[in-house]
Amino acid sequence: MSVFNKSLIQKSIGIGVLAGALVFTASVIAGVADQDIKAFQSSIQKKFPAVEFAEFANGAYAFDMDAREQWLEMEEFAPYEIALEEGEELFNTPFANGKSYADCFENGGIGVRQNYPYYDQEQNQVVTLELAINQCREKNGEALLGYKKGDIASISAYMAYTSRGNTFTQNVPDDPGAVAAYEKGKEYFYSRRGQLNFSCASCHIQSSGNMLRAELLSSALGHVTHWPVYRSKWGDMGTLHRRIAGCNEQVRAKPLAGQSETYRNLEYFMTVMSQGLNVNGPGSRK
Amino acid sequence: MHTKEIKKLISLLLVAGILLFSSACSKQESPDATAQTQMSEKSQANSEFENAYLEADKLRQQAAELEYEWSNTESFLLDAKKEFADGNQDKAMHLVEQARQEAELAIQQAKTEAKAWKARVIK
Repeated sequence: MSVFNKSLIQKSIGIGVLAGALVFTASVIAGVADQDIKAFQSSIQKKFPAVEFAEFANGAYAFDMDAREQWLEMEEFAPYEIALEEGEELFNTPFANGKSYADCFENGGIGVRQNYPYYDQEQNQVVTLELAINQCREKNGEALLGYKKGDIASISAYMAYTSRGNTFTQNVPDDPGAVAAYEKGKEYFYSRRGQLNFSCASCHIQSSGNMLRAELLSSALGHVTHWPVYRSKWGDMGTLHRRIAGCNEQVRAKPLAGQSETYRNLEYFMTVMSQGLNVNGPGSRK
Repeated sequence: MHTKEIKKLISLLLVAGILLFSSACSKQESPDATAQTQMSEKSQANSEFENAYLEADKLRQQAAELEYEWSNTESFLLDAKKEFADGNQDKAMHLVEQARQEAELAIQQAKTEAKAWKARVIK
């Protein structure tokens, strides 16, 4: 019998949404990006006045009730369940040297998803959860995992699942490196690229809530909360960076490598903009 | 016609004939010379393609360094190489030109966007 039973998964989605509504006010962290966060979130909430703040964590399913019904039905037999079980096993399997992932993360790696990404002042770079997973492996003499799918997605899925309902509180500390990384992520988000000349903002700010072919475009607010994701189109789990690369391809821009500095800076910016929302990963999407 | 005039006419005809013959000879190449010309033309075509390819690839790399490379540029260049190897020079040169144009546009896009993005930030 699966540890991650259906009713538990549905309940945890509900709890995550409610907890977000209750906890938001208390957990906002002040920082360099205060004005950006306020402007970003209030602009989007003004565009979608009927959507509760916490619901933005559910992406397009916050706007489209038919799609939401289908999504909730999909969660009855969550397509990421197998990845969750695999992820738990991988997470708990010791490395060759006897240590495990639990030795690399605070709280043994349980309930920590919301702490990523963050700007590491010693490493002078943004550290995402997937980067931290591979850094743990490297530290313990293990081969690195690919960053877009496979085991990294399963382990990340498990760690996200143990963190459901926890709140993203990221802001940007008053550190030149952190500010630079955040600004680069912001630049990427708003810069047009590719032959089709679209930016992330083109679809997920200006056109959010509109249809693009057969799909409703989600808002950038809450984009990071539900990763990694089982995507029906992939028939597979994938990380946020896999999806970012896919978006690049869709606008005919050559994608970058998963966990490239640019993608990590972008994830940093996106997470700061989603400050106050809760972890609700892993997710399932079309 | 007098004999003298006839002799003069024959001399003129001979000279004309010699002139015509030598002109024809200068236009007609030997088989070795033909092969050499063909090789020279092929070598010129090779250089033209190679130069165009290298220029387009250099621009593509510039776009890549800016992280603005478009997704089709590299495949245009790969297809161009294949077409050239198959003897389809015109198609090969067309593909190289497409790649070059894309790379130039991508570089221009990077330059424009370096400033333009700021106006889109939600304030």
